[in-house]
Amino acid sequence: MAGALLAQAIGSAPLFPAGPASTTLPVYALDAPCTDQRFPALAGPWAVGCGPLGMVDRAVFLPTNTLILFPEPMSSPCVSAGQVWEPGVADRLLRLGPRTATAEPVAASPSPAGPCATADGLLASQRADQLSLGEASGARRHLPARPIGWSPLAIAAGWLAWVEAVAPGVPQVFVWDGQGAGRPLGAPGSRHVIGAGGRLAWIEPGHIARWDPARGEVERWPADTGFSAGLGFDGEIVCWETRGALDLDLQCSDGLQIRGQGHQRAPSQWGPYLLHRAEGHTWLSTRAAGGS
Amino acid sequence: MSGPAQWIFASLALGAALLLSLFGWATATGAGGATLDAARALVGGLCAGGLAFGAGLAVEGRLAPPGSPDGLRWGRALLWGLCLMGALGVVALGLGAPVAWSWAALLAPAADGLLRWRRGLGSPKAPRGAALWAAVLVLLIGMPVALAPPTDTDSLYQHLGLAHRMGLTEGWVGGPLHADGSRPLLLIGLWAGPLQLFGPAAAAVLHLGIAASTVALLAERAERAAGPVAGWLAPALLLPQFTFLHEAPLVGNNLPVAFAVLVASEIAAEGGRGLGLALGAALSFKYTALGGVAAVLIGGPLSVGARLRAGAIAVACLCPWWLRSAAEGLHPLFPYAGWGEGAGGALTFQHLEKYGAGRDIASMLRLPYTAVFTGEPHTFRFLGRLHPGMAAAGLLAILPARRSAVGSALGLAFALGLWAAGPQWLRHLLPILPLLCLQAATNALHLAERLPYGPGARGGLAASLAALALLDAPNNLGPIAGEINDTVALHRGLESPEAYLRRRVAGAEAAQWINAQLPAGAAVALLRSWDTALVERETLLGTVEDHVPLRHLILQRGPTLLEALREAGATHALVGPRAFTPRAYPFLSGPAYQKAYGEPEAALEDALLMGATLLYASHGYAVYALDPAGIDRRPPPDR
Repeated sequence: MAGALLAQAIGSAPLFPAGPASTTLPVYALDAPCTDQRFPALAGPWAVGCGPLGMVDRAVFLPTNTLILFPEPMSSPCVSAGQVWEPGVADRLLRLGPRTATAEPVAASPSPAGPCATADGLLASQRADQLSLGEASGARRHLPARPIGWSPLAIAAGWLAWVEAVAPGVPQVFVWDGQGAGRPLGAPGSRHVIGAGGRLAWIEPGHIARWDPARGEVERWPADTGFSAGLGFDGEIVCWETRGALDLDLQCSDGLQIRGQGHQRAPSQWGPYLLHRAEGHTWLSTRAAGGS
Repeated sequence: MSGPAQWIFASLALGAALLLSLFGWATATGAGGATLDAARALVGGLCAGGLAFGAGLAVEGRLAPPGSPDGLRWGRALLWGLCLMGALGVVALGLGAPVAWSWAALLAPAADGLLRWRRGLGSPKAPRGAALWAAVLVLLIGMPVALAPPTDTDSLYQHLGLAHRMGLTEGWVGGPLHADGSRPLLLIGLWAGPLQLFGPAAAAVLHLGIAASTVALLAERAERAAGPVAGWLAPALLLPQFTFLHEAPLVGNNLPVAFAVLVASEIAAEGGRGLGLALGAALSFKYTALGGVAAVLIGGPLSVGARLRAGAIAVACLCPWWLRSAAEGLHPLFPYAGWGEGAGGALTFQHLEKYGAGRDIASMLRLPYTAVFTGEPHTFRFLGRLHPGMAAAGLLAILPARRSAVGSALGLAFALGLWAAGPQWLRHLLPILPLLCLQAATNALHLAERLPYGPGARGGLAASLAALALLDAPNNLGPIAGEINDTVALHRGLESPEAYLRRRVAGAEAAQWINAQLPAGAAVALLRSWDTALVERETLLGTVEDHVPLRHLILQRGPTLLEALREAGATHALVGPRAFTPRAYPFLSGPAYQKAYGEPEAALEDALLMGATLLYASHGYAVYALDPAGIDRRPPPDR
């Protein structure tokens, strides 16, 4: 669906069709700003965020608005639908349920040099000179690489993506299928890679790009974004920041637009939900059922 | 063993012991890199100190009148040498030349001075007895921290930061975007040499040497004034307090000021040339020397003419800095004044109400008690800690125990009053603390002589005071032990210098990311962040606490803030966490806080979101590219 919308969008004016009807409500339980500003973020139908100390220590199960407190706070975890993982000293994988979060032991990982990734039962972590990819309790495969540090990893259909500097100040998205060597995927300047639903998306200068490993094609469409955060992406719909006349707003590939007083920032997208920050609060926009 | 031989032997033994320990660790743990860094810093600090001392000996040999008594002049020689090295360093920085070249100019006079010292020709005696062992104690306590990468805020943004920035910029910096560069730069020139040649820890070793020299000179002077017991008592009062021991292994200006003030008081009390220069050096190190300078001029046994002459020379030493500021269109006392207070007081350089324990009359009357007994090292409640003995020492110091001490008592009382009128940071007491301990020790022993308890009274009183000084040792020395303990993993090679920095400095990770990822030609504006010394790129701004220069720029340029940064050459910005909260400024009304702090902070966030692109964000720090094509699109709010 999102692909069709994107295809429609390219070359059409206005760029995106009128968006679906949505309601936007504050998520007070996740109002505290996080030290890791990639949060709050959606992990499937769970919104994962921070407590008063800025540590990632809670989630809200959105269908029932149930607050779930983690057994221990995390500083910079990675999330996927129903999973939260932080490699390092206190290595643990949290499985989120409708009411509780349960911790599972995983094969220990060294302290990371940047954010990890988890998806499709795989875990990936980065050190300054190496990437690791494997199943939670299984052996990890390693690839020598020089990821640029803060930039998160992404997993899609068994592929691991990361950002590496190809020249001083020039980042580029690379991918690795767990075998052989990694290879560049994005254009020079590409960054903010995110994986979901078996696909990868990232930001390039002047464009947003999406890659479907099954088809092997990179789709690109014009967008100027990446001002204060990366993309919101669930495999179908991609959302990003746009600069309006007065402030930042949000735009999604299904036409949903979030505008309002102040800056609307840091989109996180999953299914009908779009989580974002505005005016020091966390907001959840929910698309109307069937609306598109 | 003679004095100089004892001094040289002790120095060599200490140096050899440290080097052996370091190489022992390296062998046992494989900590080669950390050990080499530490050894390099140690060698660098010793080279700088030795070169300055040698050159200073040559100067002092010419300044001192023939027939000067021996044993009075090593402190002066060291001060002259430090000033000479600093001045040449300033010139080299201004010319964009390596500071090593200025060191070359010192080699000949240093060799001459040291050879004269070795031959004993008109040379000063070296410290011994209490002076020697007090200095060794300071070196031993401070060395583990001094040999570690500096992490102290003032070292990073100012003392090392400015020297580092000028080295990268290849010239002096100053004005609103480099506000600290418009202060007197004598000490910056001094630190630049060891920094460029041996790394930042070498500057810390040199600073530690100055701290040890201060204690040694204090002990010597006390011994000469009131006998050997005073020689032990004075350093025993100064040493066991957090504020002194914490500052000793950093790179700062309070202890160099204290050393210069102590040398000046020696010249004033015991005769010799160069009083005005010593006072000028103290003021050129930091304006907070004013209290110490006043104490020397008021308290020294000087004629009115000598006081006026020395004061005039001291002021003349500052004139080049004032003229430089004036020539650049700044207030002569910039950055302390001249921020355009016309903006409704929004740019007050320093809110005195933030610090200490209150400024109403009752609080000021309680100040001697609150400052000594309730100081907190890491909060604005005096930003330091003294031991309880300082209450007694303070009283003894301003007690005119004998007629000849009336002037000194008045001078110290005036200096304490000046300190109370300022922000009341305990580290700002350091410039007069050695004088205060000297006066307290000598007054105590002169008083004890008058007591009807026989000769044991002197020792008893001194022991009581020393015991009082150690009474609060857990609170004063405990944090120092913690600071030393924090470096053990680093020195044993179990923690890399980079990891040590990341653990101790909030913005270090972002600075390391910049060093690894940004092009060599990038210029980084440090906004709400101050890790200038850690960024291996040209920088501008980099302010602390109230961030006056940054708020000045925001209030001046409003929505065109990023354009101003680009015009100044910045290609990127390193932005620290939100800095202001109304709770830190309870003395400001809501609207006044909003105007001075709330609105500028919001304007900065807006400007970055609308005109820059995020490249990195972690632990509250973010790196933005200031897109050349980016524009600040919004109209000014009043349109």
